[in-house]
Amino acid sequence: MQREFTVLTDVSLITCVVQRGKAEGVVQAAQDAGAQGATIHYGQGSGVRERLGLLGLAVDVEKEIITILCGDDQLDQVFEKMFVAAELDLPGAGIMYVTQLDKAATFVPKDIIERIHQRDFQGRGGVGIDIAGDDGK
Amino acid sequence: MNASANAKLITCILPKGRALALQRTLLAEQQLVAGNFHFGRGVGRDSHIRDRGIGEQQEREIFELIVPAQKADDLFEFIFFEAGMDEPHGGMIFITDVKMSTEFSLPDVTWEAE
Repeated sequence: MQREFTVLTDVSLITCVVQRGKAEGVVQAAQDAGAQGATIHYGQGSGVRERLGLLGLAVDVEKEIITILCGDDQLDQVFEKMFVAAELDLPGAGIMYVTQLDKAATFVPKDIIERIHQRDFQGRGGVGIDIAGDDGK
Repeated sequence: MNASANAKLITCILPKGRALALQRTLLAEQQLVAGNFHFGRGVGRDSHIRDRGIGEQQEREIFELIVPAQKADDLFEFIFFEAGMDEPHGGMIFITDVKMSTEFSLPDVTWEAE
């Protein structure tokens, strides 16, 4: 049986490391800027906290790591909103970076694929799609 | 040092409970042993409690696997269907380029096969 799936191109991965408890506000800001979803996991970090001496107690050693997949057309806007929400201009607040993805895939409903094809036909930018498939072996 | 500059990182964000089965399938069918997973929580945009904050959050498993670059596309497709990502709420998969990676292989343990 022939199986098909939709490959997304022009997609980037935003990774943001913040102090524990701050992730929800950052995700909210990303969603308001157009991000579709986010994944959050926990970790432990070090950095400016070790250099602050007693004041370092104000920086939480436990971190939340947010990962968000984002189309390249929305990337700058989402990145900026997340930066502001996470207050990354403060020392020790965290760090954020973008990784370019070769490709991504997930379940995409047919009506959305049609809308993307219409958008491409009209020459507007956005996430690129490609239909791939296998022979079901 | 035995390092390779020709590798890709496949990452899958899966619903809870699927990563271990995927790891075992990759071991059995593709002889891949370099997969790891960790846990997290995920949030989608179309949650029914979206108006009360960022929406409903669900447990997720994040599976990561380093693969040779020439096999990456085939494995991407294999994992996509094997992990059930062709269904709604099945998770997502993506590939990133890796600048350098070490090789990971397991020694032959004769008593394990017996």
